[in-house]
Amino acid sequence: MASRRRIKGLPTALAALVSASALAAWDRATQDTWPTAGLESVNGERLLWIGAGLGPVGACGDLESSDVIVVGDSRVGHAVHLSIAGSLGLGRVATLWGGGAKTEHLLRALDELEPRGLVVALSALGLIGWQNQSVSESLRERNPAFEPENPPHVVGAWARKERAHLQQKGISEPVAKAALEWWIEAHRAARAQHLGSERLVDTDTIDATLAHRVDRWRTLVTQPIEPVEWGSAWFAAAAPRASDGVYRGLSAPEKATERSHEAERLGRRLVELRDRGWRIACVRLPSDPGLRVIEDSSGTGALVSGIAEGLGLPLLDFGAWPAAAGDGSHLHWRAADRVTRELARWLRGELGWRAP
Amino acid sequence: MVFDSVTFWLFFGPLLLAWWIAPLGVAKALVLAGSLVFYGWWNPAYLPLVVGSAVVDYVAAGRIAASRSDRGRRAWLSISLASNLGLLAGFKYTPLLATDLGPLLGWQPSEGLFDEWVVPIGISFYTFQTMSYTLDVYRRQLAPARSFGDFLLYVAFFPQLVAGPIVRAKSFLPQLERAPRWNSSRFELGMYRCVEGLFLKMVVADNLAVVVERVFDGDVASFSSIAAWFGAIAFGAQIFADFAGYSGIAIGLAMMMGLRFPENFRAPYISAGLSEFWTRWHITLSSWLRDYLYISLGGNRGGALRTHANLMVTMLLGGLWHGASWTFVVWGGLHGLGLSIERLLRGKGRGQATVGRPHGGVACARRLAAIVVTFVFVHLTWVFFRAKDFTVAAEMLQRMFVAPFVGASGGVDVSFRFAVLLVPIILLHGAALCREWWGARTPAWLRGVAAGLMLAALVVVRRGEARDFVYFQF
Repeated sequence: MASRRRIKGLPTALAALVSASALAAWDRATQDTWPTAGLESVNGERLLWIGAGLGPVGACGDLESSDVIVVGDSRVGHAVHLSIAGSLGLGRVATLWGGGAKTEHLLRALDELEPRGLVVALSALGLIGWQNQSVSESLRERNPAFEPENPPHVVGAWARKERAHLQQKGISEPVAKAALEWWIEAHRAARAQHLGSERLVDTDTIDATLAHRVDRWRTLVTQPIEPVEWGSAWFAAAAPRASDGVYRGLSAPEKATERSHEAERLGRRLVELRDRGWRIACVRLPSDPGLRVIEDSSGTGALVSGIAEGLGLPLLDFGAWPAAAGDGSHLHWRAADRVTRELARWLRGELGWRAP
Repeated sequence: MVFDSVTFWLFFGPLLLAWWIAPLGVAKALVLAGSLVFYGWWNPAYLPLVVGSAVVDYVAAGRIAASRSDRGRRAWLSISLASNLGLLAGFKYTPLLATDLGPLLGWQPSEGLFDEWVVPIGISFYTFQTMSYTLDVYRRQLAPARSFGDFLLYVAFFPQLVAGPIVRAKSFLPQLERAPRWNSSRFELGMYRCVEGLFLKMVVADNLAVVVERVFDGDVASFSSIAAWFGAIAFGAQIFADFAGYSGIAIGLAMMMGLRFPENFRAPYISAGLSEFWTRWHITLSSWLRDYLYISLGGNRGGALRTHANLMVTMLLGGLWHGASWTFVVWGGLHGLGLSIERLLRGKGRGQATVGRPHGGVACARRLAAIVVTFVFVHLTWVFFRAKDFTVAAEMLQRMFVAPFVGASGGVDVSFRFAVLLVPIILLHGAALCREWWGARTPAWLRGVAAGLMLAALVVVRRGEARDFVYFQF
């Protein structure tokens, strides 16, 4: 039998060639058509308690030392890459956001801060803010259990009692469960960070930093996919519909009066901040065309845009971006990269905001 | 430190280079230091446990070999076993014993008391590894290690420290006595095993976990029967991909260092019987249990009843090894029961050998039927392995086996698109079948192509959440 000569290094060379070709083909085939994941904040957040009777929201970056703060609903948490924003000549950037939180409530967290740049992400959900509001206004108190020094079982015990209380107040089980789980998870992350910071070598932070860098590189060179998204989409973005739970309230005609009142309240709040010396700009973040139709057809789109126009505040409307968000609402990393750069370019170039 | 982290590969690269270019003594010292850093990366406070366990067993084995009396030998063996099992039991089973037995003794632990109880990672593996060493020395099958440094390296060697394979001292210690020989083919094969392992873990297992969690940790009773079956099969695939992936990486890393580890998985889901399953699944654990527990209990030397009892005890304890929960014990017990029944059937000639390709249509059909029956049984027992308690397990089994027959099979579905993640596992098992039945070998170039596709998948497929290797919890 003739012996086969084995070419040394052939498998390795083939592996390199095949992987490079496969990645190039994938990127070409899915350019701007594959809605990748965006359901986790790109920045990592900590819980911030914004006021008596209001539940926690997410704060990313250091609010107190920041030069620009971006405020809005959960879409802000996914749309603004802090690591990019901080290198684009605006100074230090931080975000403040709450899942379905009222924008007007979020602005209360700024009362104790010195005036600086404020970018308000106007959205229909930020007017009504039903989710976070209904849960947070039902919490009996800000619970010290959430301090990162406390072990998880203390928070767990609080959550068990609070869940029963929320349900007595008429909050649905899925909403109560989702809110409490998010807070417990945020506490776990804060505690891990706290414990890591007490070790001689904070290995968790080292791991997370390296993983983040690789993840960022990956989202810039290819179109990553996250199988968890396969639950709702395959080769198509999830297109929000007016009948979808979260967006039902946005288009409900019977809520038109409430939306108008909330818009006026938000407007008054912005005037107060402006009078105190805050520089304010408004933005409508990009969303799926389906979501835009829901917002605009109910008049809510015009209402939120009208807040900026009525107060003479500059407004940047990104419009509808197809395939920019796996769920139609929360941007994936590549879209967030683009939004962050375009927002920074607009603030610096058009409005003259510069790092101090 | 974990294999699927960026940190690990930045750590491994320089260590690998040092291993190959430094003189043997220096290389071993560097790898030992690296192994301790690897373990301590998780939590340095638990390093003394690994080192302490190694010290006790090194001393005990030395004393066993030097002792002239059986009594002395037994005493030192007892010290070794007591210290290892005490360590294991103390860390692993205290919460279970406290919550289940405490009330019987008049003490009710407060809720959440053990929420942050730490079980040092790898404790189940390195205690078993060091016990095998002292038992082999006691049985005069192995001379005690001459160098504590080599012995500590054997115990703490980073590729297998936290989740196996459980490596026997008699196969590993001799490899440390001389410098490894460079072999480019083996090095390439090692790289392939690492890529394959990472792919199985990060692409297949971590993403199957999504559907598994949705089914097992959600409202099980609301799911359709098909969804329940899919969840069980997805878990079988997840645990295989996760654990075989990890073992593959460990074996690959050792290969890249010119060392040999035993295989730990051999296409377990083409098993045509439970006995065969346990020669293909977590091979190093099942052989450990056979050699040091089953045989020590008497094996099959005490008559049929005694044999079945020994089998049952071995499998029950094997189940308990996996976790401090009664569901794991039931899982082990079911396998023990299945093995006993299979043994009875084989003993009466109704079973048949399952080695090699079956000849003829009837033999083929019988083998395929046996494979299907084994597959179904194994996945039925996986339900107990994965369910957090008996209520969830019962609900799952109800959806899987009862609901379709009582007209109650409707319910919520899960996304069956995740089934595409089963394809790599099917291909792996198919390749194994071709190898065993027809002697077909995977050509090197095909391995290169497969590695390229897996590398591309590793870049493209993003995990929503990095998950610990499943066997880390054991």
